[in-house]
Amino acid sequence: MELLKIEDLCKTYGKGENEVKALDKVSFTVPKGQMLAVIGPSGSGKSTLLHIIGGVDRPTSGKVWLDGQDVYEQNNKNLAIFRRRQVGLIYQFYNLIPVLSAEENITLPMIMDGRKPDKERLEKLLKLLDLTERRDHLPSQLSGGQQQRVSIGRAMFTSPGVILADEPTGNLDSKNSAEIMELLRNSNRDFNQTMIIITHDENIALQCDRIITVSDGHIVNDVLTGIN
Amino acid sequence: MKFESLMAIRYIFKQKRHSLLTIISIFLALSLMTALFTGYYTLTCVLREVNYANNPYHVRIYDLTKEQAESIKSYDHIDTVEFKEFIAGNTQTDIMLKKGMKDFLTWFQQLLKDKELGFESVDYDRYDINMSLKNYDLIDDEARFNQLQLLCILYVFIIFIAMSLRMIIDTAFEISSKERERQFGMLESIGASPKQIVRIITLEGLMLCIVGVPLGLLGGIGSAWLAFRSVLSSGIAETFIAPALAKRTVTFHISPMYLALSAVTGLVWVLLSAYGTGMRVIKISPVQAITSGGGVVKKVRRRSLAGLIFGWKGKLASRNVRRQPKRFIITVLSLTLSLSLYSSVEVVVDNAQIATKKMIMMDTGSDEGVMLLSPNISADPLAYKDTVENLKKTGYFKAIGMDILGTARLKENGINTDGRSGSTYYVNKDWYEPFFKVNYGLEPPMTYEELEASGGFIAVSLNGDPIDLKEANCLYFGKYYSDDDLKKLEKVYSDGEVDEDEFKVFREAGERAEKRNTEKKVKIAASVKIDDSAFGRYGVPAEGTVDIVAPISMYENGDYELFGNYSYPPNIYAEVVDNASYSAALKYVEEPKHKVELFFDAVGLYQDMDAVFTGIRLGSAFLNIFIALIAMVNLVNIITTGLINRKSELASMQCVGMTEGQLYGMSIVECLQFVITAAVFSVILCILLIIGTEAFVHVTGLAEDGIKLGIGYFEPVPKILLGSAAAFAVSTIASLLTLRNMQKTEPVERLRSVD
Ligand SMILES: Nc1ncnc2c1ncn2[C@@H]1O[C@H](COP(=O)(O)OP(=O)(O)O)[C@@H](O)[C@H]1O
Ligand SMILES: [Mg+2]
Repeated sequence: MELLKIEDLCKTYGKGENEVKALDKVSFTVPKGQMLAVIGPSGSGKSTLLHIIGGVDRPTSGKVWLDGQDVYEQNNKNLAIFRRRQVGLIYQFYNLIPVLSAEENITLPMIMDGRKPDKERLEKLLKLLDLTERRDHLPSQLSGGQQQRVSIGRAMFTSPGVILADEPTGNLDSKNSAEIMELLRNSNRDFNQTMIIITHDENIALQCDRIITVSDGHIVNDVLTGIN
Repeated sequence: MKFESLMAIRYIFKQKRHSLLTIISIFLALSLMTALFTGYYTLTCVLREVNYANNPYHVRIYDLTKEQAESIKSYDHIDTVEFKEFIAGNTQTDIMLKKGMKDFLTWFQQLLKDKELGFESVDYDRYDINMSLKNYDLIDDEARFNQLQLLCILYVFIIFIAMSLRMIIDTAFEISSKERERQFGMLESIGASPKQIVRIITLEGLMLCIVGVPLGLLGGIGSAWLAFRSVLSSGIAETFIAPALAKRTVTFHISPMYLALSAVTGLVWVLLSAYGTGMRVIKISPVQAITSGGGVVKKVRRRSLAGLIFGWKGKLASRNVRRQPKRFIITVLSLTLSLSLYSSVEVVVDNAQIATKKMIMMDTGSDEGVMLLSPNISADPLAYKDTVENLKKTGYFKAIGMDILGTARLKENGINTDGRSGSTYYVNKDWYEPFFKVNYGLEPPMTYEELEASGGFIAVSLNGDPIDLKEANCLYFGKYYSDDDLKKLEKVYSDGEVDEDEFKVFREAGERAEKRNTEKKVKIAASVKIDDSAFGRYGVPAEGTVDIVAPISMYENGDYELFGNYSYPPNIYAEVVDNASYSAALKYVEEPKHKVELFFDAVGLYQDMDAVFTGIRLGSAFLNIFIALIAMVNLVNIITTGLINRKSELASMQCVGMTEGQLYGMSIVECLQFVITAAVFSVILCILLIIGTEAFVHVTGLAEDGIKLGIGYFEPVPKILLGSAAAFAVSTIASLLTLRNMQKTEPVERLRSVD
C-alpha cells in the first residue's frame, strides 16, 4: 500500500524572465517502509521536492497525499501539526535550535505538541544515537556528526510517517557518514520507517531500496536496487 | 504553554544582547512616561495644596448660627464642618465634602432648602464656593469629567511622545537579528504552528516586561524626583507662592493610579510590538527562513559618495546601508529627531528669554532692570528732593534717574494748531541718555551739561521736521488747590493706592482748583526729529506735535511754580547695585516712612523670569537626557544587530582575505554614514524650524509688538555637531566591540555557526 503519493507536482520560482521551473509535473508514489534515494545534479529541484513533501513549502500546482491525507488541503495550523507529527526533517546543516540542549532539541516536536515525552523511548533513542553523555550539551558544543545525530533523533522521536533527509551526510567525513547511514538504515528496517534521502553520494544511494534521478525538475530515472 | 514558555525563557537568557537592549528600551520609554505622569500629578497636587492652604473649604457659608452649622454635619456627602466665630460676632462655616455626588450645585441648593439656612443659593454674599478645590477633589460628576478630560489630553500628549518611543521598542523587537528569524523558521519547519511562534515572541516580551516595567516605573519616579528637586532649587516655587507656604505645599507626589496607567500602557505597547513582530515573522515561509542566510539583495547602487571618499570600503559600507533601507531610515530618523530636539530646545529657550527681556527693557531702558519708584504726593512740589536724597544715601543704587511730566506747550504759529501738543519732561542727569533712547530712539543732541548751560530746552518733533526757531513762546498750565483740598489729596495718596472713593475726592478737588495759565519765552537749545520707528508703539502723533525736554534744574529753579501748588510726583528710575542691595532696597521702599512707592519692579521681574526660565531649562535638560539616552540605545541596537545579521557574510569576506583592520574600517564608515546623514538632516530641520518660528512671530503680529527673535540660522549647528560626534563615538564603540567579540571565533566557524 502506498504511503506517499505525489501527483503532477510543479513549482516555479520568480516571474517573467526570472522564472525558474524547479519542479515540472513530478509524479511518483512511495509504499510504506521504503527507503528512497533521490539523486541528481545540483539545482535540479531535489530540495524543493523534499520541502514540498515535508509541508514547509507550497507547490505551484499538483498534489501530495500522505497516508491518504491531502497535505496542502489543510489550513496553516493543521499543516504545522502535520509537520510536527507526520514528518521528520533532517538537513545538511542540522538546523538545530541553538538555545536548546541536545535532549531538548530531540523532544522539541513532542513538547510543541503539548505531549509529555516518553522517558523510556528517549533513553533508548539517546543510547541508539550514542548521545547519552552529551544530552545536556548545546548544539555549539557538539561535533558535526553529533549534531546530525541529534537532528536524526529529533526526526525519529515522534515516529513520523516519513523521514525526509536533505543530504544528511553532505557535511560529514566518511566515517561519520557511514555511521549516520547505518542509523537511518537500521531505523528503516527496525521500525519499518519510510524514508526519502537526498544525496550526491552514489554509495549512499545504493544502500537504499530505490533510486529516483531528478534533472531539471523532471524525474529521468526510477529504479529499484533490489536490496530487499 | 509549556513549549512556548520554555522557548521564551531560553531566548531571553541565551540572547543576552537582545534581551538587555529590549529591557533598556522598555525601561527608558516607561521612565519617560512615568516621569511625565508623576510630574503632572505632582503639579496638580501642589496646586491643590496651595489652593487648600488659601481657601480650606469646598463651600464656606457666612453668618450661620452654631446650631445651623451643627445641623449640617449629618447631611449627605458632608465630610467635615468647621465653625468659626469672630469677635465682631460674624461667623464662617467651612465645609469639606466627600466624593461621589452627582451635581454639586443641585446638592447645595437642596442643602439650603433642607436645612433652612435662611437664604437662596443666589445670595452670593452669604457663601463662597471653592470650585477649583471641588474639581481637584473630584467631588461631583462634573469635576470627574473635567479631570478625565484633562487626563485624556495629557494621555494623548504622552502617547504622542511615546509614539517616538514606540519606534525604540519596536526596533528592539523588529530589527532583531535575522538569526532569530531563521530560528523561528526552523521551529516552523519542524512543526511549530504560527500561533505558537507568535506566542513565544509575545511571552518573551511579557517576561522582559517583568523586569523592564518595574525598573521603568522606578526610573520614572526617580528622574521625576530629581527634576522636581532641581526645578525647585531654581526658586521657581517661591516666585509664585509665599516661601513659608511653598515649603509646606510644594512636595513630591506619586500616584498609584498613574503608575498603573503607565505600566499598563507600557505592557500593552510591548505586547503589541511583540505581536507585530510575531505576525511579521510567520509571514516568512519556513523554507525562506531556512535557506536564506542573509537578506536577499535586490538592487545595489553602483556609485556612492562614500565610495568616492573611502574607496572600496566605503562602497561596501554604502551598499550595506542601502540594502536595508528601512533600518537605515529608522536609524537616521530617530537620530535626526534626537539631534534636532537636543540642539533646538536650548536655542529656543535662550531666545525666548532674550525676547522677553527685550520686551521689559523697552519700558525701562535698562539692561539690568530698574525699580520704577514714585515719591508720595505732597503739597510741596519740591518735596520729592528729600526722598531722592535719602534714596541716594542708602547706597543701594548706582543710578537714580528722574523725569517729571509738566504741562507746558509751545505756542507758535504753525505748531499745535489743532490743539494737540507734546509733553514736557524735566529729566535729571542719570536719566538723560536712557530717556532719549527709550522714548525717541535717539542719542541726545548735546550733553546734559551743555543743555543746562544753555538755559534752554530741546524741542523734539514727533511728526514733522525739526522746528527752526531759537526761541519760543511757551504756555504753562497751572492748577492751584485750596489748603483744605491739598490736605485731602495728601491723605488720598498716603497709602499709595487710590480706590474709587478716593478718586472722587481727587476729581472734585481738581474741579474746585483755580486754573491759571502763564506765558513765557524760552530758549530752544536744540531741535531734533525722532526716528519714526521708535514711536511705532504709541501710534502716530498729530503733525507738528513737539515734546519739550528740559533739565530738571529748570523745574527746580522756578518752573514748578508755573504748574500750580502741587505736582505730579516724578518717576524715579532706580538701578540697583547688585542682587544683595536689591533685597535691601525692596525692604527700604516698602517702609511707609520713606515716602516712596514701588510702581514697577523690573529687577524683580527679571529675577522671576530667570527663575522660570531656569525651571524650563532644567525641565528640558531632563527631557534632553532622555532623548539622548533613547537615541543612543537605539543606535547601539541597530548597529550591533546590523553586524550580527551579517556575521557569516563578514566572515566570508575575511575568508577571501579581508583583514580585521579593514573590517573595522568598513564598519566605521557605516557609522559615519548614519551620523552624517542625520546631522545634515538635523541642520536642515533646525533651519526650517527657525524660519517657521520667525514666520509664526510675523504672522501672529508678535513682531509688531517689538518681539524680534533674531535666532541665527546656524546657532544650533555646534550642538548638532557635538551630538553627532557623541553619536558617532557611541556607534563606533558599539560596532568595534561587537566585531571584536565576533573575532573570537575563526571565520570558518562563523560561516555556519549561529548566534
Ligand atoms: N527561493 C528560491 N527562489 C528562486 N529560485 C529558487 C529558490 N529556491 C530554489 N530555487 C531554484 O530552484 C531550482 C531548484 O533548487 P533546489 O531544489 O534547491 O535544487 P537542489 O536541491 O537539487 O540543488 C534551482 O534552479 C534554484 O535556483
Ligand atoms: Mg539542495
